[in-house]
Amino acid sequence: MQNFIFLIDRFDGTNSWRQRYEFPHKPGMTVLACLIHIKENIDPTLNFTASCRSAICGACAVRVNGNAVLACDTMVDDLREQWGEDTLTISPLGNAKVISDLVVKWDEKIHRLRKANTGLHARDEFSAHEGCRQSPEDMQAVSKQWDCILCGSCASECNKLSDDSTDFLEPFIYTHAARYAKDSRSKNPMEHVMDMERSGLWKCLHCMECVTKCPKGISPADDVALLRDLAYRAGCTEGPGPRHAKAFRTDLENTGRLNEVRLVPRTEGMTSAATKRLPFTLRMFSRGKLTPLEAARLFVADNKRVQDHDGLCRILEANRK
Amino acid sequence: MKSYDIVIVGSGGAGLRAAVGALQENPDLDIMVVTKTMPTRSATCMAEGGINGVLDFPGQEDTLEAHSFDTVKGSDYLGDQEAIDFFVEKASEAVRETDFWGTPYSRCDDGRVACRLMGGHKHARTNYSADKTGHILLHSNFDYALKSGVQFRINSHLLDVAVEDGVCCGVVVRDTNTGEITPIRAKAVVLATGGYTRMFWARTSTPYIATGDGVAAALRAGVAFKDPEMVQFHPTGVANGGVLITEAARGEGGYLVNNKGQRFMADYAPDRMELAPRDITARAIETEIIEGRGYGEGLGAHVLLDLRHLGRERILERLPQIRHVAQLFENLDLVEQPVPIRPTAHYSMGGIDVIDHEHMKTAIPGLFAAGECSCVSIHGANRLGGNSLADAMVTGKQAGIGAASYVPDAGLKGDAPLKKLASKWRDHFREATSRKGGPTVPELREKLAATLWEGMGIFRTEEKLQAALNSVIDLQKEYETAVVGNENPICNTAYSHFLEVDTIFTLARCALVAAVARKESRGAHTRKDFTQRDDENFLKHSLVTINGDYHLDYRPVSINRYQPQERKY
Ligand SMILES: Cc1cc2nc3c(=O)[nH]c(=O)nc-3n(C[C@H](O)[C@H](O)[C@H](O)COP(=O)(O)OP(=O)(O)OC[C@H]3O[C@@H](n4cnc5c(N)ncnc54)[C@H](O)[C@@H]3O)c2cc1C
Ligand code: SF4
Ligand code: SF4
Ligand code: FES
Repeated sequence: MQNFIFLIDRFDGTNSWRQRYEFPHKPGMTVLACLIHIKENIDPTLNFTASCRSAICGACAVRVNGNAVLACDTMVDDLREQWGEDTLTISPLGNAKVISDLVVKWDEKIHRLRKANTGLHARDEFSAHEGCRQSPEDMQAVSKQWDCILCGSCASECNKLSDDSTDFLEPFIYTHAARYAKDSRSKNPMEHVMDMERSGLWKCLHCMECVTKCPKGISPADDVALLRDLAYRAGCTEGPGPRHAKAFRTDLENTGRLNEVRLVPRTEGMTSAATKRLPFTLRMFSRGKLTPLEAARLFVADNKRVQDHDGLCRILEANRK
Repeated sequence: MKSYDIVIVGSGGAGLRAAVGALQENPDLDIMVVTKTMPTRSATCMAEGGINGVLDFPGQEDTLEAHSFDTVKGSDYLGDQEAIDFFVEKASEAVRETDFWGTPYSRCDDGRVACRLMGGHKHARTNYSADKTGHILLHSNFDYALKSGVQFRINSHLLDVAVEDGVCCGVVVRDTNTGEITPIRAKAVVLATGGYTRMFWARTSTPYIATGDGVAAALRAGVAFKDPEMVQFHPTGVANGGVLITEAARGEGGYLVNNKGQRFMADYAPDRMELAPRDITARAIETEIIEGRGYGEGLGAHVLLDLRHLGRERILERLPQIRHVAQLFENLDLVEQPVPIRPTAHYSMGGIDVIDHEHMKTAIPGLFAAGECSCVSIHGANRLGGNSLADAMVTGKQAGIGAASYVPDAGLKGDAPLKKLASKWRDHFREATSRKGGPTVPELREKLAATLWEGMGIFRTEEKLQAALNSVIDLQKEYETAVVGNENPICNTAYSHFLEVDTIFTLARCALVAAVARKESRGAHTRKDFTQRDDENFLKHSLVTINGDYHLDYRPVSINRYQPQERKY
């Protein structure tokens, strides 16, 4: 096989550049093994983070050709086959402040995670002294959300965060809130919902980037839906967000599938849909974040639930004109 | 200069539990958790099996006494019995308490926490959450720490603990993002920096962060390193690097095979075969390799773990994780091929000498230690599966309480020693990063790992240990000329790694000093030249201190209930 060739986005605190590294191919190397090879044999100044090398600590997420992966859990040969290229571009996670090279800052993300009011507030019949009781099924109901390793991949390509992160949180934060809201041991599930309701819950774009990127098979988008449902039931029914959610539900109930074409106008009104959505989509296009083809791939990620990707492409097409 | 009531170093299970414990003891305290990674990147997340703790329920046959006895016996009687009694009681509480805070344990049908039987235990008392107990425990502790308002200073690498007039007065840390080296004043410091098994770099199951930094800092501050020679080896790590292939592989019926195609366990444990206890299996594999019945050579030598007879379906259904590990590290599918394996360094029983198990105090007032970096000792010469997560929870909480109750009577000390240390480290950064033309850090690190595996691995002899000690002393000298290769202060991970390797050199030397002197076989310390346990001469803890030179001392084990017997299973 051809040599490994990596183009790595470098940043030393002042300057940014893209650096090329080439070394002989060896079968069976993970992205992390290659990064370590570079650091230890070619260039000790390259910075990245890794700890467990077995896909459980979440330290090593990076973007390869613009898509977040866990470096320790991704084979370079698979990537080369997938992309049909010998050269791979590695860059730091998106929607994160870069400290250096592939190392990103987590301080703010931890701070934002506090909004989910993590930590269980157990029901009155339980005590720290006795512990809790829970059925295996009830535990199973939250076990997926507990698989989150805080790797940040879901946030990397989240279109809502890229557009504006001041009124939206990293997708995994909704997942964290959901795992407590949904826990049968929880005394007051709403304490994990209402802060989310005020923190962008209605603004998720259903783009499903988070779902396709999560190495643990978690669906933060579903957790957003779950929290919305709880908020809606608790009486948060006013404003475009809840109206959107209602439409979402009606669609699902009527057809079993989601019709995004109808969804947007119904929640925001025809004109406002055109004007409000337009800038966002244009920004996405102008940043090269979306091509119609990509958009198609992007929006059908979870085809079990959201199938109307033709419709989404039509929105994009329409907005482009 | 920043100052806090308590600085906690490390954010694994022990550090997080210490922070919450201290805040619960006294919510008015100003507490900061300092950690070299983002909090959830710790070794704690890698634990799979479970956390021990006897829970009380109808029909329960297990008792705290039984857990206590199994732990004492497992430790090969090097565990301190009073501390172990205290530990098992608190371990039981820890499981219930974390359940109450949100840890999602697997459940029995009647709603109580599910538990499994692990090697060395008489009863099933290892509480679990599927096969990711450490992960959920770490994350639920992190979540709860956030809820409790714990503050974090992440990407802060501990360099030294400062002491004035014999009392701890703070820490010096390096902010890896900016490169800034900062002194932090603190009335109390809790070290919870994890184990030191990374000294066997190329053959360990532990994460890259497990370089024993806190143990080395405590040593420099004057605290002894207790039982450093006691490192546990797990029998099955992948040959390439040592990542764990869990017990499940053997539990499901995997075969261990040598280069003659024989299931060699027949020669070592004819009844239990591959299901023999960890230490027996590890010694068997290593014997096969030493006697020429393995494959490959040097650190890469191995035997095979063959699962093919289980069939594709069973492997896919029952062992997907193990298959994945084999794929990642050996680039093979164990449905079709056996996987090369060898024992791997897995846990540090030794650690910072703790002299009061209730408050996890060290000999320096104001300095506390918890988790894998500490040594009470609960695990003695051999830790039982599931006891280390419990250790992190219990000793973490006690250290938090200990620090919180110490603070009110402690004044803030002067900052002169802190300033002096900080400026010493600033000079060090400049000197080390500007070196040219010496050996590289990875080069010497690999040499250290190979030397230790050869000399202080699963089988030890006077001759080999002494040779290893001499090599390590030479390598340590050479390390003084090692090149970092990056002068930029911003996010200089090469310098961080330089420090970590420096640390494991120091700790390896301590371990060798203690291992040479322990002329007996006990738990994980297997001497081919002294094959029996020698209670008359060695029923005592090794205590290594550094003060210019490396000095070895001993302390008797506390025995209050169980007189040492032969350890048989
Ligand atoms: C693969 C594997 C499987 C295991 N399975 C089990 C099991 O089933 N049951 C069980 O009981 N135990 C198990 N263990 C052991 C158990 O996970 C650990 O002993 C325990 O979690 C240690 O917790 P800790 O908090 O002491 O250390 P860690 O979790 O290692 O945390 C150490 C912390 O200190 C920080 N730190 C280190 N150095 C510095 C520094 N210089 N400056 C600042 N911060 C620093 C690190 O960033 C980290 O946050 C397993 C271990 C491994 C590796
Ligand atoms: S579905 Fe919502 S949360 Fe997920 S990536 Fe898209 S906008 Fe972000
Ligand atoms: S939800 Fe998935 S992608 Fe996002 S942080 Fe958690 S594990 Fe990573
Ligand atoms: S190194 Fe831990 S997830 Fe990759």
